[in-house]
Amino acid sequence: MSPPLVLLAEDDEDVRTLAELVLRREGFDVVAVADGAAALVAAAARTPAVAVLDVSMPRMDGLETARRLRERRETSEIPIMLLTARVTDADRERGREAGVTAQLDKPFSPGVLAERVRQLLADGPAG
Amino acid sequence: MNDPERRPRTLTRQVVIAGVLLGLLQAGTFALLIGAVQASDRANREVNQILGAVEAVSDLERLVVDAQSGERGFVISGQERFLAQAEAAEQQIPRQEQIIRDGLLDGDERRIFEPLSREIGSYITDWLERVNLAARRSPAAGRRLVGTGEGVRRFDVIRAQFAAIRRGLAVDADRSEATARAAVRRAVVIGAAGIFLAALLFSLYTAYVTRSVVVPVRRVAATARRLAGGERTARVRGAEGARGEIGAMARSFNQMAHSLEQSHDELEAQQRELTGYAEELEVQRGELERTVGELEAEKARTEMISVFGEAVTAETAFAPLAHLILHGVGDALRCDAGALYVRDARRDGDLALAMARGLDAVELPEILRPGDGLAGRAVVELRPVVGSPGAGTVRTLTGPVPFAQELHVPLMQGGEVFGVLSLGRLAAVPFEQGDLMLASHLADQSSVALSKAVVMRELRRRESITRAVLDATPDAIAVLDDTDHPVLANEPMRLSLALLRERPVPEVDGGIVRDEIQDPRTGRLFTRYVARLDERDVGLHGRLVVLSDVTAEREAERMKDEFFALVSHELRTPLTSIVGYLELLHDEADGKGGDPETEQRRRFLGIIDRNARRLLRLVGDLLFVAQVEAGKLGLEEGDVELEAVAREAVEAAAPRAAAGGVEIALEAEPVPPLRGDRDRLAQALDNLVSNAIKFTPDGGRVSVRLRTEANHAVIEVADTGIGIPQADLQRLFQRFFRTKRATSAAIPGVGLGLTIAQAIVHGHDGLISVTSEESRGTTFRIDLPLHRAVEVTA
Repeated sequence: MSPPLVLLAEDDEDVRTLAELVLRREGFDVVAVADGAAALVAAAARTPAVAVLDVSMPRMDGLETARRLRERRETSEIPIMLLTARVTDADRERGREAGVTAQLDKPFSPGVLAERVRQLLADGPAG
Repeated sequence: MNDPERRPRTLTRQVVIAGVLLGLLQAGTFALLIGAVQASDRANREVNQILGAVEAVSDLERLVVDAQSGERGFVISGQERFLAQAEAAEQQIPRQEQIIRDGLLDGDERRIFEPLSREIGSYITDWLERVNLAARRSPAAGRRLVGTGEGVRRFDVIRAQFAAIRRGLAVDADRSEATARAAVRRAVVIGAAGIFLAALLFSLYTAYVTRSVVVPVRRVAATARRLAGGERTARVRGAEGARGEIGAMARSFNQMAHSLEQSHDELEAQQRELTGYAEELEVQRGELERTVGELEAEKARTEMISVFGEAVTAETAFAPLAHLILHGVGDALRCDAGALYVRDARRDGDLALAMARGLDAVELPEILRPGDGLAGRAVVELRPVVGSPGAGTVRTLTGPVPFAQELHVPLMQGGEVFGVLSLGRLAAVPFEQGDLMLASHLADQSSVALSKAVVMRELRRRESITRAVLDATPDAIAVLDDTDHPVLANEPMRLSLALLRERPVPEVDGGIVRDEIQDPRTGRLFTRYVARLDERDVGLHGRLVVLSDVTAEREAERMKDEFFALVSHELRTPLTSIVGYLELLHDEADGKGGDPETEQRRRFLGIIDRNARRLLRLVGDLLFVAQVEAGKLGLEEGDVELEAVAREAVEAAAPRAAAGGVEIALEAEPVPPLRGDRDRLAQALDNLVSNAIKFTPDGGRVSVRLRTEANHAVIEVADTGIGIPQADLQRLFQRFFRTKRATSAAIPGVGLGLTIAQAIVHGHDGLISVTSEESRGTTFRIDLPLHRAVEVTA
């Protein structure tokens, strides 16, 4: 059985590398992209088991990407985790509206990230 | 008048008797006269009848002659026309004979006439017929027969008898004529005698009446004239002896005169009495006139009061009304000058000078104090006060002139003085009781109108203020009636009336309904507040609508949010890398172990990690405070075990406490779990604990205590530190505030810890307080309600 595929979208290269490193070390297969548009392309190419999206990205932000993913049949029910710079309740509410399953505030501990992704996969499809 | 009724008849009887006698005489005379005339008439008629008979006899004779001559003519000439004449005459003869028989009265003539008639008949039938027959046989025979002369003889006998009748008739006529003449003579004698006798009797009667009636009447008339001329004692002389009606009249007249005299005397007495009455009446009339004069004056005064009342009632504006009162009352009381003081809300309800007349307002006190001067006395005594002299002066062309008389009338409304009307006279004419009453009357009327005007003025003033405030307010404010019609709109609202109409204003029962609307024309955003207005007493019920333009605010918020999002992201992203990679390095170092080089690297990594986290916490604090400032404190609700939170805080702080030589202890009683944000509460407590450790010198002690009081959970963090000056206690929770001592002692921190702790506690409907004693220590206390009335949504 091939390892679950994690779709990772993060515009900051350092953070992206860190997250990819941690997730791979946890045994996940990872497709790492730098923005939402690329994430949608990647998701179309290979349906991920879970998506980890940064909120603030050029071209298409994490919220919009989440909405698009939900619109596609293949990804309509996968768990989606948003990496946020926690600011306000309104930000969180926007995330829920966009259909994300979980939100993780930056800065995050690599260990916590790996733990949360494992948890999402164990909980099964969103919704 | 008392005489028997019988006596006066004497004269009447005499007059009647004389009249009857005169009448009888006249009647007798007329009877005789008529008899004489009738006799004469009868005689004349007889004469005429006789003359008629004579004529009729003559006619008969002519007819006989005609018949004889006609017969003879025919015999002689043989002509038939003679015969016709004879026959016509013969035919008329019997009728003529009948006329004669009717007309003849006298038996003698009738005796003579009948033989004549027979003779004529036989002449015609025997003789003339025989002649006629003979002549028709032959004229000669006729002529022969005529020639015998028998005819002439018979005819002559007839004519002789005619003559005898005529003679008899002539004798009759002469006799009758004589009788008529005698009758006429008799009538003339009788008529003359009757007239003479009547004239004689009338003269005698007239003389008698004159003597017995006219003279006494004249006497009575003369007496009456004298009476009328004022001679009351005049009487008819000889009345007592006089007889008959005239006597009675004279006596009656005398009685009447007597009565008149008595009446006159009585009248004179009455007139004397009446004169007395008249004098009395004259006195009363004078009194009445005086009363009427007074009444008229009173009426004029009442009318003046009424007119004044109408005038002041009609005026509602204060200044014209004050003018009206000052001049109206002043003129009515003949005052030369005056001043009006009225309670003024602008002067804290004091009696302020409202208007002056004939006085220099500058020299008058602006405020009238109760008890000050005469006017002040009127205020205290609640009645008009009169004074003299010289308490005030009036300016004239020749300089100030003192008042001779002053009057101060309090203006009352609802039992309270709300104004004083002061009036002054230059002339030394004192105010009388009537003046004071009039002044009171006018003051009463003035008070009613003036108090209204004052209220109106105050209302207008407040309305002006309200209007100015409303118009100066940037928010658009309107009051809508039940039909959504704006009964009030301030200046900004006038620009938004279209928007107000377009967006239906929600109904609201109580409280304030708040929503947000956008003007489609300008794109501006408004927060709309709607509240119920229900002041039934003043007929005000509708809704108050306030439109607050929040466009700029929203824009600023949006920009701030964007900024925070950006800053937050931009600060956290590099920190994420630092913290993340440090963790990886840590893990890696942990894996190797032992090596001193690695140990030192691990120590360095620890330092980097600690500072990265400090930086991270600072970023978090700053963003949190910004969030609180924006009113957007986000709390994630859950069940919180405070004891666990407190223990973790103490445990986390233990290394730092140990490093500073400070003892730290937890004294926890069991506390029920409460709803709240565990991380935030922990953050608040961390802040208090780390502060306590920072400000407690070596050898000090920090106690964290947890217990329940009533329905509150109480957390106390007490230290034995340097304490906080009282002056600083108030400002302790202000952001970025640090005590001087903290700064001078170079104790690290930016002054956000307490601000954040307070915001979190308030977010849980709790209270945070502090007590401190310098050099002895400080205690922070947090009270958290165990059961919050309103759930805070996450």
